[in-house]
Amino acid sequence: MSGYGGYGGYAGGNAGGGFQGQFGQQQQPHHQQQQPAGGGFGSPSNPFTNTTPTGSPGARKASDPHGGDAHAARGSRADAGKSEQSLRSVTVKQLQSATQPVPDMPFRLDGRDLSQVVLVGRINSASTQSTNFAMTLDDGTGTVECKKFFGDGGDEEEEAARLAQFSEGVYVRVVGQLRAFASRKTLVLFSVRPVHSANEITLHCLEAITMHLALTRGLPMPAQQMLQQMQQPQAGAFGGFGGAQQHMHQQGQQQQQMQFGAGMFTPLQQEIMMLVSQQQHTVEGMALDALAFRLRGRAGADEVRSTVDYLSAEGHLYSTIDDAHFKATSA
Amino acid sequence: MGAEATPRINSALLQKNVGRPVRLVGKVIGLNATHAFIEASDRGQVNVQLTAGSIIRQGVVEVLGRVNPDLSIAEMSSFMFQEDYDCDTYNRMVTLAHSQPELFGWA
Repeated sequence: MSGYGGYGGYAGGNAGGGFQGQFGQQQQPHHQQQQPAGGGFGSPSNPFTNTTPTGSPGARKASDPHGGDAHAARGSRADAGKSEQSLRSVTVKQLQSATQPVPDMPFRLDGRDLSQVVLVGRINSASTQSTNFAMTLDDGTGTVECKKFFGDGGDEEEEAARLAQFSEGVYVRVVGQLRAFASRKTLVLFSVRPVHSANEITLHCLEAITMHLALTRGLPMPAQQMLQQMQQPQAGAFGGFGGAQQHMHQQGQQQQQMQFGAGMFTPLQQEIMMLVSQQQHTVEGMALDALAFRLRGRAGADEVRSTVDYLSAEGHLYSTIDDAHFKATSA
Repeated sequence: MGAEATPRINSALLQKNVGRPVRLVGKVIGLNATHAFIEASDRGQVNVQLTAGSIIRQGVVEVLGRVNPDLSIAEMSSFMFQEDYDCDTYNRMVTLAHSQPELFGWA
């Protein structure tokens, strides 16, 4: 399995389809039935982080097979109730700085509960005990003890044999949960699998950085500005704001945009989201015509359509009775 | 938990890390009985003094070793990767990671 497997699942929601609507050509409605792809990092004020296990951004990643243990992972997340469940790429150093304000409650990192984490590192030492496989993982930022408990049932021998490949010096990707045993932090593993390509290290470190920055600073403005630049040539989008004005307007909107994810939405997208949300209580949601009517004078019907398509492809909206009616994916 | 951090470096970062254990990922461009010549992610060449029983061979490698004053690396242990390696992206990641001390702790 290639190292990009985990990331490909995420990008799939954005690539291609995400920008098709932008250029207003094939107006194929994007029937987004899976969980939101955008805003997946769940910034504190981001309503797109669902509380249901399948809705969580992390579920997307866990659906990539980590050696069949994804099922165990999902199952245990469902048990955990309404607390936020996400799969976070982290470094050992981050685990060291994670805090546990209340004993036996989840650890906290960057202002969020830490449920399951992914790490990529090299095994410094490994040993097989009677009930578990223990190893020390070193990712260049520190070392952490990891334990994989053997499942009960007849597969113990198989499991032990599979784990035998994980010896000193081997690069692995692990998924697990941070626990404190006698004031020492240990990672209880759901899955271990070998890393074959150096690109996995690159990917993992970049993911850790991105998630950390998204949680602490919100998603970056450049992504949003890039979006605007792409919209500009098309329909003189935001022509009404004017060049310099638009930028200042953006900054002003920053504070108001907290509701829908800091820095993530352009003013038009923001407004569309707000209008559509007002129809959440109905079965069919907001009709495209009604939306265009409400936005007349500020945006043309084509622009409204293409923006709705984009939001839909990003997972913020979904079509209901037909492709001219939408509701927002977050409550 | 603990242990010394082992920064990921490229050839440009050797200077800053003299005396420290580091991780160097790169392509093996030359190999003899005592040394390996690695092209780091910034395309600079690094000399690695092989340890006894070194497993380094042709391909993409991560060398864990200590930086000597002459900017060569004394190998402690290595891991061979598959050929699939995007060196430019790796290099950008290294630069980025060094700007995130909270996550990596690499000075």
